[in-house]
Amino acid sequence: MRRPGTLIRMAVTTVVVAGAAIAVGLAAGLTTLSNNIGAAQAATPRCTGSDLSVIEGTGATITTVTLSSSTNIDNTSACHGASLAVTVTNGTTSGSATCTIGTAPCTVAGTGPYTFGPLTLSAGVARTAATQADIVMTGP
Amino acid sequence: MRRIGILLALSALLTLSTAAAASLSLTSQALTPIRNCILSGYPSTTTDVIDAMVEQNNPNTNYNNATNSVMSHSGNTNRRTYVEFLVADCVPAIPPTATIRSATLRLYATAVPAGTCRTDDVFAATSAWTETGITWNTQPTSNSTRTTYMQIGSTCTSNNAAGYVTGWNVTGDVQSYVSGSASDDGWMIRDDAESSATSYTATYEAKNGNSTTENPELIISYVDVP
Repeated sequence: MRRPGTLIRMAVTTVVVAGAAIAVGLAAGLTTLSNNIGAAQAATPRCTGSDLSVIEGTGATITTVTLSSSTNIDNTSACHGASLAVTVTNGTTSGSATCTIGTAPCTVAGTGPYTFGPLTLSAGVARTAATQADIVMTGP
Repeated sequence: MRRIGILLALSALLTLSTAAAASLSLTSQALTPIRNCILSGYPSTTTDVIDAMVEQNNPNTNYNNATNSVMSHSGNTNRRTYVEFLVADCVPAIPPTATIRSATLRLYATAVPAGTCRTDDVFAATSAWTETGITWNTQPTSNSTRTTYMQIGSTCTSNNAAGYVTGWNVTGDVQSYVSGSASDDGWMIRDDAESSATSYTATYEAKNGNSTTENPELIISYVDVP
C-alpha cells in the first residue's frame, strides 16, 4: 500500500506531464486559421530602385553591364546593402552577375543619372536586336 | 522533495515552450524584381528597329541607307531623324498591364555641334512610316508637344563630345505603346530652333552603321505589376 501523499504526488505528476505533452503537441501542430492577425501595422522600408535600367557593354559579345538609376539608391538607407542579381539573356545564352549596393563594383558614380558597375557577367552574351535583362534586388 | 523539484522544472520548461510559441515572429526581406528589355539597332538587318533621315533640301530623297543621321539646321537645310523601336518585339513580351519605370532613348553622337549648345527635341510620331518610303515630303504626323529634349554641343555641360547622348526620357510614350493607348510609330528628332541663320550639325550613328559600339538603343525598365 502506498501512502496517500505519494498517490497525490503521482496524480499531480501525471496531470502536469499530460498537460505539458498536450501543450507541446499544440505548439508543434501550430496552424494559422485566423483571418485577422492583428491591427498593428509595420512599415517596411522598401528600396525605391525600381527604375533600375541595364546598360549593356559594347561589342559583339556583351560581357559587362552597368546599372543606371534616376535616384542615388546607394545613398538611400532602404537600399544601401541590398543585393542585386542581374541576368542578361538573348534567348539562347545568358550571363549573370551579383553585387551589393555600396560595395564595389556597385558603388555610385556620377551625379545623376546614377550608375553602378560595371559588373562582369559570368558568361558572354552575343548581342542581338532584343535582349532581356532581369534585376532582382533583395533586402536590405 | 526531489519529485517536487522535477515538477517545478517541468513546469518551467512548459512555460518556456509556451512563451516561445507565443512570441513566434516572422521576418522577411523586400524582394524587388525589375525587368529590362533592350532593343538595339544591331545587327543592321534587324526589323526591330527602323531609322532614316529626311532632308528639307532634297524633299523627295529617301536616306534609308545612310550610315549616319545628320541633323543640320540653317535656312532650308533642316534635317530630321526618325527612329522607331518595335516595343512589341521584346522577348518576352511586355504585358499590357506592366508599369514602365523608365524608357531611355540612346543614340550615339558621332559629332556634336561645334562652338554652341543646341537643344535637340524628341517628338512622338503619330502615323506609320517606313524606312524605304520616308522623305521630307512624306514625314509622318507627330505630336505638337515634344516628349523630351536634351542639350548637345561642344559648349554644353554634357553631351559635349562624341558618345551616347543622355537625357532622352521617353517613359510616357513607351507606357502608351505597351498599354495600347497609342500606336508605336517611333520618334522624330530635330533641333529645337530649326532654320537658324548659322548652320549647326549633330550627327548620330544610324542602324545601317552596323556598329556594336554605337548602335541606336531603347532601354525599357518595367515591372510586371502596377
